[in-house]
Amino acid sequence: MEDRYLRQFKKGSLEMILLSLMAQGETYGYEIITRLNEHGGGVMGMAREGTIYPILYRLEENGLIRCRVAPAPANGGSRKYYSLTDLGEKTLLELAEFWESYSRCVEEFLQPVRQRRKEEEL
Amino acid sequence: MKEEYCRAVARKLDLSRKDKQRVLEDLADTFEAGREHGQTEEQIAEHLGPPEDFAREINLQLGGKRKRLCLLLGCFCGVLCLAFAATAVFLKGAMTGGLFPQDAIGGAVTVTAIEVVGNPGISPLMILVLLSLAAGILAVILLRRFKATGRNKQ
Repeated sequence: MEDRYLRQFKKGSLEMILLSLMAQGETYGYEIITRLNEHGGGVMGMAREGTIYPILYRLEENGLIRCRVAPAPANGGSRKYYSLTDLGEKTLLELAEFWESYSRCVEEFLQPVRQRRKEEEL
Repeated sequence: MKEEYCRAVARKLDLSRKDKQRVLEDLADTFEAGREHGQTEEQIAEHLGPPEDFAREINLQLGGKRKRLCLLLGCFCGVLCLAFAATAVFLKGAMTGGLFPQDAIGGAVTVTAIEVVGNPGISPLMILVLLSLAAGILAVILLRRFKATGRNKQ
């Protein structure tokens, strides 16, 4: 299968996934990417900073997440910590609901394809 | 390694100053966070991928406004180039067709005409050609830049 079909597919869900990671508590860029890759790397492919940073910037500009700059633990520099805003939580819930009905709908379309595949294999 | 990587990325980023600064800050923090978690700078750089690929991905996602500006300015310069060129062609045609003397800087319906005595150094026709050339070159540069920020390596 051509890579671009998968890419388009994954693109739509990444924001929702990032919001859901931040819903679990305040976090920072490196941790977000590590957790994303640990739990979804096998299916989604390895997330890269070059893809994730712009999404975080967009989410912040749209008011779904907030960014707090705090001292970094190790080196005395600073680090950005992200968390959901009220709007972000509301949006995430709406996205989660939509995802449920969307995936059910898509599954209905795919059911005949799976059925036919099973019959061909038998 | 970190400094070298960040410098290489900075050279390739085509963003507003604000966006460039925040990308580079986050990049530096990625190196710091990776070190806290026991990674070497080489491992972190390998994970990030080649600096030009990293910058390209960022430009693709964040470079939207600049990209549109490049396209707009590029098209505008292209139109200017054509306008100057058309005016130059018309002027040349008018001169060749004898509508007015070659050194004239103006004309009138009647026999009255203003004729420059002596050589002004550079003719209006040459100025138009140079302006057309400059606008054309600028259009090409801007449109190539627009195309470059739109190219996706994946």
